[in-house]
Amino acid sequence: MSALILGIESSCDETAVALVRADRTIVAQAVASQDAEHRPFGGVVPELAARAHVERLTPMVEAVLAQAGIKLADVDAIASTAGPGLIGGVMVGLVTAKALSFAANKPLLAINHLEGHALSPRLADSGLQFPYLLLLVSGGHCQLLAVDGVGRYRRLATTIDDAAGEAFDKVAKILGLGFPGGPAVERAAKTGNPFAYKLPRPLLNTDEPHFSFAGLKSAVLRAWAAAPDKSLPASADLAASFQAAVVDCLTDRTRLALAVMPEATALVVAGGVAANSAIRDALRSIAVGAGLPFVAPPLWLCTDNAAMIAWAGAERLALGLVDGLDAVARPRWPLDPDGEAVRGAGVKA
Amino acid sequence: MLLCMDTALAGLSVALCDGDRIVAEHHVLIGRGHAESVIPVVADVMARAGVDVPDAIVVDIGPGSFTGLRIGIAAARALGLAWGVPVHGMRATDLVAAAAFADAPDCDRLAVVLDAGRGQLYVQHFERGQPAGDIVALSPPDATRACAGIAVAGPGAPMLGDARILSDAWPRAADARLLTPAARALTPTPLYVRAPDAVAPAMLLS
Repeated sequence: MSALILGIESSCDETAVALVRADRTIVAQAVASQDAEHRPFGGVVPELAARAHVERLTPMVEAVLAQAGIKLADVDAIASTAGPGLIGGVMVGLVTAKALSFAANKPLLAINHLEGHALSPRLADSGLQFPYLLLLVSGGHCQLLAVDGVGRYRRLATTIDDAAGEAFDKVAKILGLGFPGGPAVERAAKTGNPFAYKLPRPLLNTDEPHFSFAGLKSAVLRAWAAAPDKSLPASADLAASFQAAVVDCLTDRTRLALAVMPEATALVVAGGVAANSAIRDALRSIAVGAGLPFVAPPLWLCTDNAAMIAWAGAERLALGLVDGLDAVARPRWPLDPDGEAVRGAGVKA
Repeated sequence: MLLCMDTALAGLSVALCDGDRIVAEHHVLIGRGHAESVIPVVADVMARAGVDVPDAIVVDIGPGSFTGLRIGIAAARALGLAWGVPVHGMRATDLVAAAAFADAPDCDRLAVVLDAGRGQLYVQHFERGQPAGDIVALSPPDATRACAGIAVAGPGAPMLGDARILSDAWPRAADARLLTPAARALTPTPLYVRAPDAVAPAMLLS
């Protein structure tokens, strides 16, 4: 039987536990969203998130094991997100994993959450080989990475200000569309006219390979303030125009990255924003144009989950990359520590 | 054999107790870094005691640093799950009071004072070993007034303007053995006392 990994994820506002085998079988999993707790605040409140994680995590581990009819003794390793993310939640998950690892005498795998996203397409698609070009788009990150192997990542581009998902959340807030912002903007955009508002495409057609969304977000804020009519058709038009601008930025930067990574065997998208179907469709066209397979994990695997953490654990365990019980929880943890600092806040990752 | 744990404040305090006897202990002020150290320290204490699995776990549930409470409680709960042993909670104020009463048998009233962060202090009154009021978060002047005329104990005691300090010792996990059975059988969930600093923003855009 192939190795069985227990995975834990608690770096933002999802508490999640999964049991995944190295042969890609997802034995059991659970995800508890904290949307209800954070909705009144229009964004994730770190202290509220940490409080919810500590209440839910151990009962969830117990429930997932029970659901699978598996004892902790039958698990081969414990994997947990160790960063980057909201540090209070990360600590809860990592300490829980360390305690399970010590008491059950199983190896510990302290996983970079971004590596979970980066390798998740290989959980979904057994045929996906290294190297591939990955667009990682989420609430906290927007990066293009050359994925050369497990633990081997080169950052080709990153955002110099906001992450794409952050821009979706803020635009949803501006337009009063609700939380979480990504699905809310996408829903509104479906009925809107993407040409209704002329919005900027920051850095488009420049040689600088990076992303920028702050100016786009501000343009939405200004356009909405100036809009004479604030009814639903108008917000749908602005949501659609915003989404079209994001798609243009993502596709333009992805094309640039493909040009500098001729060895890529596939174009892959991962992260919560990859759940957006307009973005998926646009990326698929680029891949087709470049003669490459396009790989996008199923939607549930794009948003935060523990199966991807367990899977990254399985990949690292196979290479003997285990961690000590003194592993550190990190609020910031770039996948490519050698990546050059870029101007603005993009140094975050 | 009872595994006792405290990560609520600046201390990292872990002990194995057999009834009234401390079999092995680690009690060090570390300030920060509980998440890195707590499991290696538990492993070390267990190894020194030659114990594979304790009969039960009791963990300090606070009040204290929110992050510290969560680290200790997450660790204790997961250890309990893996070992299949019960996990209970105990209060930081009870630990401090029990130690102070044990050191000063003639004292029948005291107040426990802990640093609550953000310029506040947690205060709780005790009489003849038992809590005589709720834990409250007060400003140092209010805490000084609340403790006027009584002996105080706890690491926050020196922050009072004027007080008769019995002890400024930090909570020590091994003092679980001094607690009543009820005081070390609480639900292992954080005792935050203070609500989270979260306000519904009107339209905060950074």
